[in-house]
Amino acid sequence: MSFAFSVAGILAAPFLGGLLAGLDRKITARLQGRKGPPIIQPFYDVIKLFGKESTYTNRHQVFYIYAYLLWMAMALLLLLTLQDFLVFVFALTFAEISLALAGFSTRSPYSHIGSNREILQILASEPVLVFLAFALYLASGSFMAGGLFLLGEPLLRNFPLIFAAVLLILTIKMRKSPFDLSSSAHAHQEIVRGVTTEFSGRYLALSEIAHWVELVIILFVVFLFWVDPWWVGILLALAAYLAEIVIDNIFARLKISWMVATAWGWGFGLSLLNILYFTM
Amino acid sequence: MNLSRARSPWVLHYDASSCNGCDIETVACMTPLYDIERFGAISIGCPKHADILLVTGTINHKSLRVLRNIYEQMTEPKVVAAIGICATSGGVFHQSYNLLGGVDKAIPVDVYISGCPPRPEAIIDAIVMGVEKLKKKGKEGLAGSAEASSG
Amino acid sequence: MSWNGFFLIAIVLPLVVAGLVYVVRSVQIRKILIISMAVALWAAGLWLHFSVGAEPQSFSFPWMNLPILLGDLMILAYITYVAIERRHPYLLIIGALQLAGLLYIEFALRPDMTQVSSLVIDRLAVVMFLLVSLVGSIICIYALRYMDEHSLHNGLRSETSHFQPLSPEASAQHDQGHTGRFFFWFVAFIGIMNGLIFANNIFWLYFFWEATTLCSFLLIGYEKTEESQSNALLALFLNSIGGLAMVVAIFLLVNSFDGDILSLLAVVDSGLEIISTPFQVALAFLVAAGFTKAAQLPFQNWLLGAMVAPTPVSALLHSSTMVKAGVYLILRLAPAYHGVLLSSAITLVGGFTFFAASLLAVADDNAKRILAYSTVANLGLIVACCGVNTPLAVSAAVILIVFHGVTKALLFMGVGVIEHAIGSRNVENMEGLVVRMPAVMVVMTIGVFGMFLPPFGMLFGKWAALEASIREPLVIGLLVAGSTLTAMFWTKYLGRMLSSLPGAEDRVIPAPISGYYMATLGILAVGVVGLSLGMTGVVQALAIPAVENWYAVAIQEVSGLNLAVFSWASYFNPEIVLGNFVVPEGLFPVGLLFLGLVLTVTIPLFFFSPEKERVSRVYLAGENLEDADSEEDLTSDMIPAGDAPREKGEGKMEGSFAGPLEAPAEASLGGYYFRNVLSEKLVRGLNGAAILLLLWMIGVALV
Repeated sequence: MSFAFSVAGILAAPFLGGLLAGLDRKITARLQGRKGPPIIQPFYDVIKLFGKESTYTNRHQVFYIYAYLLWMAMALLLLLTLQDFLVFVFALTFAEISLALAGFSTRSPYSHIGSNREILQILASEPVLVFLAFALYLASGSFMAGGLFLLGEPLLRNFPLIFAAVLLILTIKMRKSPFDLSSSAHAHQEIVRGVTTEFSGRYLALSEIAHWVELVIILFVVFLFWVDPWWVGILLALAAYLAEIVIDNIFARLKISWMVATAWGWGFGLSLLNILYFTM
Repeated sequence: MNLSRARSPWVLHYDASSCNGCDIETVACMTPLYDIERFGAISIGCPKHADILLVTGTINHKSLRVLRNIYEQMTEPKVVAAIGICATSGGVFHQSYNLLGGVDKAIPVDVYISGCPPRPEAIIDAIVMGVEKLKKKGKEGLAGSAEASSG
Repeated sequence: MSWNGFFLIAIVLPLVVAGLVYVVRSVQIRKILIISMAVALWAAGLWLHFSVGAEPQSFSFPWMNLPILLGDLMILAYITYVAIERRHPYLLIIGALQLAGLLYIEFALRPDMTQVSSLVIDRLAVVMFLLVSLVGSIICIYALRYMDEHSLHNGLRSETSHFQPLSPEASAQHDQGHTGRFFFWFVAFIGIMNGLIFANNIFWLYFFWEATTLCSFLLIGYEKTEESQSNALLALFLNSIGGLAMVVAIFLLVNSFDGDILSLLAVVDSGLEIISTPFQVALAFLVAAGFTKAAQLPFQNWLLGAMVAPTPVSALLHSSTMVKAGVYLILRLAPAYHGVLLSSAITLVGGFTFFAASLLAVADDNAKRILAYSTVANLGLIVACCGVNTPLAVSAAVILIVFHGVTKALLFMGVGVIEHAIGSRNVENMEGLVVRMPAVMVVMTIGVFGMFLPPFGMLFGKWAALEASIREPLVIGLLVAGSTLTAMFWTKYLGRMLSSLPGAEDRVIPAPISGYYMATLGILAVGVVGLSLGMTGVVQALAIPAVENWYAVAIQEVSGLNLAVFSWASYFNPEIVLGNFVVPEGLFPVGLLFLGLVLTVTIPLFFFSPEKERVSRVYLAGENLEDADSEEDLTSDMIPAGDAPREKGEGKMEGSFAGPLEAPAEASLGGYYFRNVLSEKLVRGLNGAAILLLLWMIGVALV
């Protein structure tokens, strides 16, 4: 894919992510029998936040919030230009670790809880993405995501178990129930506001945008399972997203240890099994 | 910007020392029947994120400090709404020895809603009025800062 | 400069300087001596780098064979003496066995060593020498300042325990005797380590090997406390097991091949691995010896115990150099076990160590022990790379050795400064260092980021290791798990240090830091960033030349079963301009990632002006009890002064809140350590598994 396309993709990602987030709120409202906010509600929120006074608790916090957004954009760039998938995973990890460090860089118990949980979310979800990189290599002989487009058959065919594992960590990455541990959209089950407790104004807006980009990234990863023809992949990603919204609404938040155990037991196990099965 | 401000009033609810009547009605605003999320309003747990502070109940010596602290942590522009007669003036308890009175004894209040408890419609009305104040404050704030920078 | 001159500078000069430092008690002269030695070593390193070609060069010093043998016997005799004196029966058995084995080999088998070259210089040795001499001498300079402070701390300790304060002069005298002894072993170690790097004759190798063990024993036990003494003994014991393994390997080599294979070069070039069982077993024992020195599981305990030693010792011996000797030996032997099952077994041991050590690091709150666990883990990763044994993997091993040496030395030195400043090694006590010691914090951040985040060298090495490990599906899971856990404990570590009260930056006066510290830490920090930025250069100038003779061609799977053959020239294809690093497996965009890092640092500076924004206090459910100046002016006119309770600002405890009954309570925070899961029992289980793996590895060689 061309450079211009990637730049356009990076600029479009926040809008797409915002719309998806708005869709999520609308569907969630309808599932709960409410009318719900307009689809573009997330944009109202973020623009408003930019207009609010920004306070900060610690200069390093500001630095890490910018790092969160920047490295998220970097991860998206690497993904859209179909670069090395492992490098993409590392960039994504950098972004998430920046968020955790932003939470840590203040002496607030609430954001510390959020940060500790954010680390555990990284711990739970990263292995599956690395396994996906290995699956990519086994399928195409290279870690470059571009190899998938030359493959001739969808990745899903040979790696259904890894797909299942990716669906599992999708919940973690989107911070949806039952795994919305570090920062939940649902006030009723959040300890104040998790990792974003001490963000305000512009910084909260930046972290929100970064989260939208993350949403696009994770759906793009789902898309990679069926790139040819491309519309099947997009349908796959959208279906996965809708399923996540439903799951979000029918589950309550579960315990952190349960998340790690599930992600490492099932996610790790299924992925490894799939890779061993493929190589043997 | 002002449109966004009007469309996204995030609400923080603080119970100063209410009998929980007003609290129940406040929470009722979020139920499917009233659904204030239609207007983009969501209940948020953290003062640093909130635009509108809904206070229920009278102020006593213990809640005074907390209320001021929360108010101070909210970021501009911000609006305070006193929900219910206790929050407005102290209501039937207003001569009680251990109370200080309404919310306006502690922090500046923008919207008063009476009732014991007020109906959810009235609370939604408070939020809508709060939104108007929010817009005005936002404009003033912008003008003020422009003045300051030019001066 | 001639080669002999080089060896004089590399090996003999540090030993001479060590002797002088011990004899001359003047601190000034000591400083001059050590700094000039450092300069000489740097110069020698540069000279070496530019004068060594692709072909290994051998050097024979037959007249030294007898002194080396005598040295061996003396060390073994000393170990036996220590075992008897400290009543350690197992150490006695192992020491005696080594002594007996060596005597048997020398006097019963009588190997003919006249034709064996004593020392060899190849590109791999150059890489190690550069690491040891550059990083090692920086740590020496750092130690000059550190030990001054250290003796001060010790003096204070003895004052409090004996209630008899020494006079300052007496204490200085007393401590100089101690630090003289310390610097003797510390500086001598650099010479010994250089000998180990170049040693080719296996008896020479064995001598230097045992000498590093001895140095380590004496330096760990330097403090003379009960804990340091017992940990030193443990280090001696576990490393002696490695020595014994090496004696067994030497015995097998001498006994089975009529004295044909008496040097590392001969071992690598023999091509015997497929056909000869004794050769394979000897290899397995040599590798096992490497495991002990590199503190692979189940031998990790000595390295963790070694953390009681003064921090320069941890930085020099236990992160950048001595433990690297273990992986260096394993890496040297990589071509010898290429293509046999032993190679896979080595991968598995390394991968398991990487995983288990990272897991254990999560549960620890002692800063130095976390660094030690991380060292063990990264050495495991290097061992796993050696086991994978492809061009990419062994290059990754070299890259990891270089970057780990530099980065970990930086981290240890940083922790040393912090420890002296705050008087604790516990991570929980390092809260808020970001305001207390901002300069050190910058260094620590570079170090921690350098360990696991893009675009730094360690991550590049890990990337290469992961991409290479695809050939060993069994080990993939371990590497993936280990690398995730790594990210976790580093983030926790950094998070503790970042945590500070809002606005504290403006109130706290940062602690002053000595010029020695700033210079040495600064050089290393710049080194970490610079080397990472020049990654393609490091790979081309150091890593590839070091290993490119080992494989004639690189074979690489492309699309399922198709094989493609690459020559070395086309296998690594760095694009210098963009800084991209291209291998058949993938691409590492160094330039792009660095651009990202630069933006990360600069963009906030553009958009963020702290004076224009308000500092907000942390949210404590509104119950903050802080200094009241900002609270007072808010609405103080509304309430008559007498009415409001005056508890605010009474305790003036920063970051505290009103607890039950309005009593001020401090908000205390702590990290997650998962001690319920990561318990002693788990450690025992992991050790047990590691012992089984090790036995299996030797068993694999036997079959």
